[in-house]
Amino acid sequence: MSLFLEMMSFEFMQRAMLAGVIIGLICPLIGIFLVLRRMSMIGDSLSHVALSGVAAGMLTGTYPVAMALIFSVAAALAIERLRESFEEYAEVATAIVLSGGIGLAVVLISVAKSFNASLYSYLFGSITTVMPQDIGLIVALGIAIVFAVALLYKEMFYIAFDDNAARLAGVPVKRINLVFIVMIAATITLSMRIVGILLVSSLMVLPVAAALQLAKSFKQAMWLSVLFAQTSVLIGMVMAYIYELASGGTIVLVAIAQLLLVLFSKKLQKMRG
Amino acid sequence: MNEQATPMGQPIITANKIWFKYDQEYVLKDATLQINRGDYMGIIGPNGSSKSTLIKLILGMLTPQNGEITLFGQSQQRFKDWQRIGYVAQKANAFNTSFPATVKEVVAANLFSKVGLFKPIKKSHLKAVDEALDVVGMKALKDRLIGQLSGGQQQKVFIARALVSQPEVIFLDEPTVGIDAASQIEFYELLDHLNKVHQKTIVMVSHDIGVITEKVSRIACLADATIVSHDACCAVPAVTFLEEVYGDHMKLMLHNHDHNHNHDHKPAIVKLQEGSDVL
Repeated sequence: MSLFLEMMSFEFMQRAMLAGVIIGLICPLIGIFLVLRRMSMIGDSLSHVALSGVAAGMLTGTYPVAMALIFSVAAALAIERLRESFEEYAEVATAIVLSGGIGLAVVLISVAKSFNASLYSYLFGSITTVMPQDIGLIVALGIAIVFAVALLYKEMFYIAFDDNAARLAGVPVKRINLVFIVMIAATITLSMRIVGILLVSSLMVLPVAAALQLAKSFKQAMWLSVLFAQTSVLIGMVMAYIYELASGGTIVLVAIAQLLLVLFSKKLQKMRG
Repeated sequence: MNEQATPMGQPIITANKIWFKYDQEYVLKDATLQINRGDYMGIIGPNGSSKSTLIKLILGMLTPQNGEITLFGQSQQRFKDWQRIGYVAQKANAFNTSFPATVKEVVAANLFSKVGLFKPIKKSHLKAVDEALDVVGMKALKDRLIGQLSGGQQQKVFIARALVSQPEVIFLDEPTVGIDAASQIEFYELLDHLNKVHQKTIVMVSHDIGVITEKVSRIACLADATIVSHDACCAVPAVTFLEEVYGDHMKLMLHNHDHNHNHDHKPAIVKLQEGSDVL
């Protein structure tokens, strides 16, 4: 308890915790639709583009998170466009954007000669570098994303389950897909401070994977995903604080441990019949 | 309820002189189809005869190069009242079976047109879900995960999903593929019930002419990219007609038919001759 009080007495830790709670909410909320629509790769693609945004921000001396947001949203829109051109091979669109993003990032980083501690924290996450201006952005956009998911819950469920039937029922599938992919981009950008660019898509996938093992309905799957994400983020951040580790790594390792635990207990249950 | 201005037996859906091609070759040439209110219509034809294409054109999932489709008196391009039409797709049950959705959640999804964009599904809406599941006899399983049901049960859930928005006409594309024989019989009885008791117009695509000719009240046959319609069928003796429609495939079809439904050894041709009310 005293450890907790000590930890929370630091202002940077208060910011990190607030950001963590919001990230632990939006990552699984977006992630569940991403996983069920078999679009997990898009998370990886957009996060690599976000890296090029961060590099561009460092190079030009602008706020890297804002640049990352602009870059990843633009990439999200490009993927949606490309998906239409490669209808039969939608994943090609994702691959194109992924390679474009990483290529641009590497070039920008070498131009700026900026492979430094700051970039490292963007790549792997850090609890000490969440700035007050980050918090403003994370809270505002985080609330907007939660609100949008609540508003579009039944539409996004229908599209995920059967997009053809949804279209026929009058759901504006194209427009909602556009909103969805922009939400993915925003979620990734908001999360990269804590989880890191390279690990953000894991926080969208791992809690959902564990929840899918246990859920008896879609609603339950959603809440379980949020629960698992919250526990991974909170335990992971406390571990990062105590042992002075990169928070992205600890969070993802906790999420994997959780998933293995769920798989193991399920197997045990099956063996008992 | 929907406005039901159209009296029984009057046309509600027409496809007029439809031409359609995916690539080079037209797969539908000058095809004309009329669906009347109260019909229990079977659309038959050999594999690859564009039966599904025709349905997709009617439902606006594809656009014809030429010809006109009207739905409830409106041109299809301007038609907005999609809740009046239900659709059970081919391989509707080929979804991701580990998708964590209950029967209730799947059926409720199709309440979209009733509930509206952005609005949550309320308790009062869920009554319609119960009713639809009751009609297909699946109410008891409403809290089960859809992936855990049998193929036949899943297909009933998809019928309930189509029913929940209270459509006047339901299109089914090869609804019994991958369903065992006993469930198929039950399934056709359900469709019969929907048609006779609930007065739903039913249009079913099938290549299983044996069953379909027994059950339906009207038949449209697709052959050589065009429709040998109900009326045209009457003009030709059944045997020539079937040969015309199925060509060389006919022998193969009959063999399959005997093989799959050995509870009934009468070949399909005889049935077609006997069921003169059908042709």
